[in-house]
Amino acid sequence: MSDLLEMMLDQTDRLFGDHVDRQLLVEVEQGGWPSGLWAQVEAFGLPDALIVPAQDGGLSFAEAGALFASLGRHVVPLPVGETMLARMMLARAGVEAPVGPIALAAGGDQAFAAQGVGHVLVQRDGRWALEVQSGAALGSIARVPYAVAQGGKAIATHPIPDGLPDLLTLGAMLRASQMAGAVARVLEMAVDYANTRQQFGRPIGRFQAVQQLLARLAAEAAAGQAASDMAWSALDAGTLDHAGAIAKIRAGEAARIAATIGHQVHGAIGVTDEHMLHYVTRRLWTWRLEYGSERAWATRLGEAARREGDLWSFLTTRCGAAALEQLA
Amino acid sequence: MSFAFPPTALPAKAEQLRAEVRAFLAEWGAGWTLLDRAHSWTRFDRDFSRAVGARGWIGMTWPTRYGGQARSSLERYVVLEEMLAAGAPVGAHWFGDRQSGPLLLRSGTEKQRVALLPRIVTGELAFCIGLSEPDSGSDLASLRTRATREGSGWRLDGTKVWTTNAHRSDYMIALVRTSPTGEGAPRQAGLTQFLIDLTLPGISIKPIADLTGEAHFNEVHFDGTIVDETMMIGREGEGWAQANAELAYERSGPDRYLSSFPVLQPALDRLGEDAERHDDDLGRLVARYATLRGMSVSTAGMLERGLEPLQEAALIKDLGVDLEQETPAMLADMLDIGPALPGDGGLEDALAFLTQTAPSFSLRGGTREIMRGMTARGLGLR
Repeated sequence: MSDLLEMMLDQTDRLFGDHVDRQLLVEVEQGGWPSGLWAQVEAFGLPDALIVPAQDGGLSFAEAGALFASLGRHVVPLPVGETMLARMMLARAGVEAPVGPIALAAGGDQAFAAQGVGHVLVQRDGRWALEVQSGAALGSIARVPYAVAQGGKAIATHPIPDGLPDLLTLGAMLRASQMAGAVARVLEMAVDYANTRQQFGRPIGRFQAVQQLLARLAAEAAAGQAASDMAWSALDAGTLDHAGAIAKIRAGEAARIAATIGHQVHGAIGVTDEHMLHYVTRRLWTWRLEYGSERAWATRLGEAARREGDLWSFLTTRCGAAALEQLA
Repeated sequence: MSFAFPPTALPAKAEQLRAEVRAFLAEWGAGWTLLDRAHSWTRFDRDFSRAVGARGWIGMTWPTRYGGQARSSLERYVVLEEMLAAGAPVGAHWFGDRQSGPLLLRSGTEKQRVALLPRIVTGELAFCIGLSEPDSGSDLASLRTRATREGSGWRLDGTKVWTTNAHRSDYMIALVRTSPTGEGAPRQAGLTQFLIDLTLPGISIKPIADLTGEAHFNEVHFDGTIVDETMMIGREGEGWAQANAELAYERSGPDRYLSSFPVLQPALDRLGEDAERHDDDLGRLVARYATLRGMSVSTAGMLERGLEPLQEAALIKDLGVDLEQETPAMLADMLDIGPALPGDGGLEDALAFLTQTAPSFSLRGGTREIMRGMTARGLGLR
């Protein structure tokens, strides 16, 4: 990890840690827009952090992935990652970015998180289109508005540039990293709770049955994080291929298992409105469904692997890991 | 609190090596049935191991003065994963390359290294691992095989069990008790590792038939066996720490998730057109295999940097054995092949074999519950 990234992550971690609490999330879920927090995100320069390519001193995708995981860990209720990726696309085409956050939509029938956004970058066949957000707001488990990109006025449209995946894949990778971060948060909360909550005269974390559950959760957390990190690194190295699909599938699976175990360990208190846990798990359940479900991605990945006709060759050359630069 | 597996690249040199290994395996593998391949790293073939040694692919990270090639752990990783993906019979050199050699390099005497390492490298010497005992499985520190001083040597009495390929091996590295468990002293104290020439008098090795009808593991009795004092590895009483350091090597490798891999492509080939109906399941499998591979390569990178990723290895093993255990059942299900076995060593026989050996995947090398206990300790729960 570069010093610059470490400093930035440190600062954003503190910013989100200080400001994104249950109270803020309640306000957002009641329809409020946290304009103060967005102003601070702007002040940090986050929305434009991917405009300068890594080779010119900007943030690499791997570094952005670490930031996306931090957004997930703190369940930041702002489309920061979406705006970063959208502004990167616009910058590469020389299109001036509109003021404020931008959502990412994978296609006409895909709902996107429309919270607080005036614009949306939509995948239209092999091109992206910047459109004015016009879709009607729908509900979601995360209790933030979702909309479908249909009929918004188009401001600009360009082909997806060489070397970058389509918006569906970028969105999937973003959510994979956010899920990995949020799963780490669930793990942290569950371990804290298990160390504190007493039953039978001792903390429940002393019971092997609970320890085994938490160890499984830790393994899932590590796998989801590893798959997401691999995808962003592969994108940096120009070898993404199917690594984005793998990240979404694996992080989604980890999210599903983590939400189950996280709630199981917390017992009834975890499903009460006053507890923080469900602000994380409701987002995990939402993010799993965005930019392609696990099954949708797995069907595509399976088809590609089947057509390759040599599974081992597919694993060693088409899954993003083979030609990475030495990153560690 | 979380465990990190930073993305790690296989260097270009390692990828060149991959092509060489594939060509070598294509030649050797012509006569292997799928059932042979399904035996993975327990299949023992000294001729094959000598050929691998002749290519310089055993002990390849070791210093050249011991016959090694001083190559990187990541290059070694490529050789290992190619061997396992192909189901090559690596059993005769597997333990020496993976554990015994690295242990001797770290803790052995110069005399032991000079005498043994070059012969492991050529594929000439086979090692087995003497840890479990009849009354000491997961609770390894309770082991009771004793070594007592006798003249300029040590007298061994006791029994090791589940020792893979002991009946075909030249040496065992055993963990034994050299001083009794004292009042208040931790049970892990007083354990010492010895290098045991399995041709010595007083050793009897009895193969144990398993549920498949085959016998790859053994019960090994020591009845007053005298080993020379120069056969002690490391220091008296330091055996526990030394044996634990080996485990990062034992648990993080591709052998912990690829055991069932060789049957995958043949199963898809058999499905033919029907395979399309299973794209979803296949995609999920690919995502898990690819993620584990990335994590496993990452751990090889940690070893290369001189770290001892014990926690990470336990975590990978936990995830990996789940996958290699689920694979045969899933494939048999997809194929809907029925229980009849043609006995031709083909897909049905291989799947039947894996179905029966799969339970041992989450036992050998430390049970799933022990792995999760280690992770729980890493999480601060115990």
